[in-house]
Amino acid sequence: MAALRDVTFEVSSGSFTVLAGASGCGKTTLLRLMKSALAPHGALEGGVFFDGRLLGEVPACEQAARIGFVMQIPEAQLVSTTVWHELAFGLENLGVAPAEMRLRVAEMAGFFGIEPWFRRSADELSGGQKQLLNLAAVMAMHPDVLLLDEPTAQLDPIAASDFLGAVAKINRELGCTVVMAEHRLDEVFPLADQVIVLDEGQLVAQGEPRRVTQALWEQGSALAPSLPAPAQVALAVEGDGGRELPLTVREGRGWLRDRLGEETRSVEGAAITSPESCCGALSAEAANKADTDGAPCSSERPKAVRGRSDASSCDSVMLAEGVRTASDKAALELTDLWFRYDREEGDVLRGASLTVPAGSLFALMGGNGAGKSTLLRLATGSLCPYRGQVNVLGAKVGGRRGRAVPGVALLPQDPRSLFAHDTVARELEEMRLVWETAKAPAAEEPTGKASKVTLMLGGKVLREASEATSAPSGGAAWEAYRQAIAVQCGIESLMESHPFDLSGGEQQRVALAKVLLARPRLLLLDEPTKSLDGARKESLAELLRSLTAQGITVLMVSHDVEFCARHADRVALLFDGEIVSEGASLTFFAANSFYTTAANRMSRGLLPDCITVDDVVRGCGEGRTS
Amino acid sequence: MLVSNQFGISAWHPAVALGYFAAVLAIGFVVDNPLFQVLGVVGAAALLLVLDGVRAARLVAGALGLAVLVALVNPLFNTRGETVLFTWWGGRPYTLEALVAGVSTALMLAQTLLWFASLSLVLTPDKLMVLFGRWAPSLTLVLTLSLRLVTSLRRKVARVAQARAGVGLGGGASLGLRVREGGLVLGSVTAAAFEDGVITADSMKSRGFGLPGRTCYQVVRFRGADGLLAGIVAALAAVVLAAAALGALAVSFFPEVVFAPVGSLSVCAGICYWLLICTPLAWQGAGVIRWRSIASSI
Repeated sequence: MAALRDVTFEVSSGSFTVLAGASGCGKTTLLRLMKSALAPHGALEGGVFFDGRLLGEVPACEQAARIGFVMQIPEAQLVSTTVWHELAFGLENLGVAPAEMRLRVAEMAGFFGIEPWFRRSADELSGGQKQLLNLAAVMAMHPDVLLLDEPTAQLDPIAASDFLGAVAKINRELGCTVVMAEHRLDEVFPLADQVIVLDEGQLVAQGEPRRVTQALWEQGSALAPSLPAPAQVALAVEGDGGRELPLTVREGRGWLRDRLGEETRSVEGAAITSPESCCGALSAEAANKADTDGAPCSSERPKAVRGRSDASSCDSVMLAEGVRTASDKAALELTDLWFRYDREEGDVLRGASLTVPAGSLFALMGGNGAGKSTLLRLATGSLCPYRGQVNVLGAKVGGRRGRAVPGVALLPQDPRSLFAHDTVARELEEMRLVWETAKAPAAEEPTGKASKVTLMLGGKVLREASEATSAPSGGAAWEAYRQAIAVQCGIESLMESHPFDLSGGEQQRVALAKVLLARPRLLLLDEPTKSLDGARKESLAELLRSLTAQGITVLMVSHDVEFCARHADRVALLFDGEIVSEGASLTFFAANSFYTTAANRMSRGLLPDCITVDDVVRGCGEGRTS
Repeated sequence: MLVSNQFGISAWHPAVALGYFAAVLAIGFVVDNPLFQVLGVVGAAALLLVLDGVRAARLVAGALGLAVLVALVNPLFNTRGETVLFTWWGGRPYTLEALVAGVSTALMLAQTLLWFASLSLVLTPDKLMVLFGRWAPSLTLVLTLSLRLVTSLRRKVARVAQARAGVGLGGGASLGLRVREGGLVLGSVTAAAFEDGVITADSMKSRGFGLPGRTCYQVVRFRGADGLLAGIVAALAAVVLAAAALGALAVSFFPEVVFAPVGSLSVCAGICYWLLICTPLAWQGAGVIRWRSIASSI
């Protein structure tokens, strides 16, 4: 089957083009065809034209200089041990004279703000800095066209925004043509002049970002949940929308204000003349809130607002109680943890306390270096705090060099670090011993629930495997269990593949299956959504939901605000080695003003307590009906 | 960063620094006159202490201890020489001459050790790249890539072992199990390294590696001061080496310790050697003093 079929498009000089599409739709193949040195082998029909010439006729040295390429994994693209040599590497290859090279390297270091770490070793840099260095190293060669293949896939959201900001600056200030494959559509759509959408190797939409957004929405594309939240709201509320489609939070707020204003225009005059509401921003906000509810009289406003917030806090209490009734005990209890890696180094955790209720999907958020991954490793027992106590599944974790606690399994950030065999089947088979040792404590449990494995996907019971713990046919039980997990993770068809040949999403599912075979009752996930596109995130969420429905507790460390807002039961924020805020996901995000979803930032002060796109759409609907 | 790394020999152009170490090492090997060697050891130890602070004290102590041992042990194996200090093991002589020869060997050894310790602090891998990148760019690049590989492999091994422990794998108690586990970890790391290697190769190709006419970026400039230093070092070293070649510094240990007569040449060589040893220290001192006066006016 052809990786690309009948794809025709044009990129005008100095423009910013975004290539969108689900993983494996042919974005990488298409980008690589635009540079001969990286073009994949295979049969090619048609041609790529660069500057009016067939690409094959453009000499290698000209292509090296004029077409820059940045790939996904920051670390692997680096060639040199030092930052300055990395910047100079391309220029050395081109044979640029030392004096000119010095100038160009200096210019690029200045442009990207690399000067402070110019003489550092490349190993000391963070992932975001490494990727910025890769970009700068390519830009030092003064390319006319910059090709980027999902450059932010391995970065956390803050580093990703910085990187995209740098790309936008290159496009805007240097006039460099940019073609970028990216799945953070909400961040790149506002920057783009042109969006090209691929699906299974075919071009399904093309054009100006607002038009493409609308087209994708109308097609019901799998990319729809990844579109900018303001646009999703506008499209859900107004269909085609007579107004210009909002793409950014700022435009979204304007749109929402217009929308709410239209409906309450009749009462606005009264609101302005009333004495309480014309004294500053606070009252203006109150007026807005009241407008939402469509309360015409100022004396009734506070009541109306209180009524709504009461209702929402009631919701969250119910949610919390729901969790509590699901199980009365905590799966993980961390009490006043203090930890440092080395006697000479500073504290990573300073009195962190956290309780994860059993059976919940708990998200732990926080910036880089806040100690999130360290906290996970403490929960597995592979690290020990120097002060404080870790209780896992009701048992105290102790001992100096602690061994892995039974019943706990950790999915690492890079799924590849779990792979050690040449087929997926063997990867899973390796877990058999762990599975067997994990069986004993499960059998001792008084409840009959644990002796039966119920596999559910999306609320449906897929399969019930009787474990027959005492039965002699342990092999059959293992086979059944393994098969069931493989089905649940959707990897049955990959059994004979080499794990390193799989795509990122597939690798993650295989790693997750491997982790699940350890039969964890507490599953720890380190940045599970890092390199997944929108559709893959949804299927991961579904999988996690089916796990919590089986009574497995999931604690995930994540940067992904949107994902946590939509799917987590409870969320905690780790900052500077301490938990600074914790609560049910709704109350948590409603209380934050920056560390929250785009939908919340868009509706803040205009509609109360809206976290997701659906909330805002519902809010607009209520505004209309009242 | 220590203040010393901004002013002293670390701030010299790598070629001059390399020349300096070549000169003092050559003198250390050629001149076996213990008086000169003591100067060398003192100079080498002082430079190392200035460069690395108290951390180097242990290395200096170790080198001196080794030197004492070598000096004392030498007469046990070498019984030549006329002045017998005492006899041992049934009349085996322990001679003064053998002891002095031992001291000379020991001082050469200690000196070499200490100079190399300083050299490794001054000529870091990136400076070596500056030095050799121009003459052997491909070789330097291969070296750089392997350096990167070693550090990244070390990190990856730890990461894989951690990941496996996190799902309950690899806690084997027996030797056989542990060896098997080690093999699996290494296999995983190698597979990942191959994978990353393909990307690195693409990244190099994409930036035009392999095009003809490769040049080399010079992160360090050769300044006027570097030229002056190079001249001073060359002149001082030349005087000492010439004096050594003419036999003015010669010593014969057996059958009796005989120093070459002290003449104007040997005195001159001694002064030059002392100046040579003091050059980086003086440069450092001057730099620090100048910096203090600049800093006080900021």
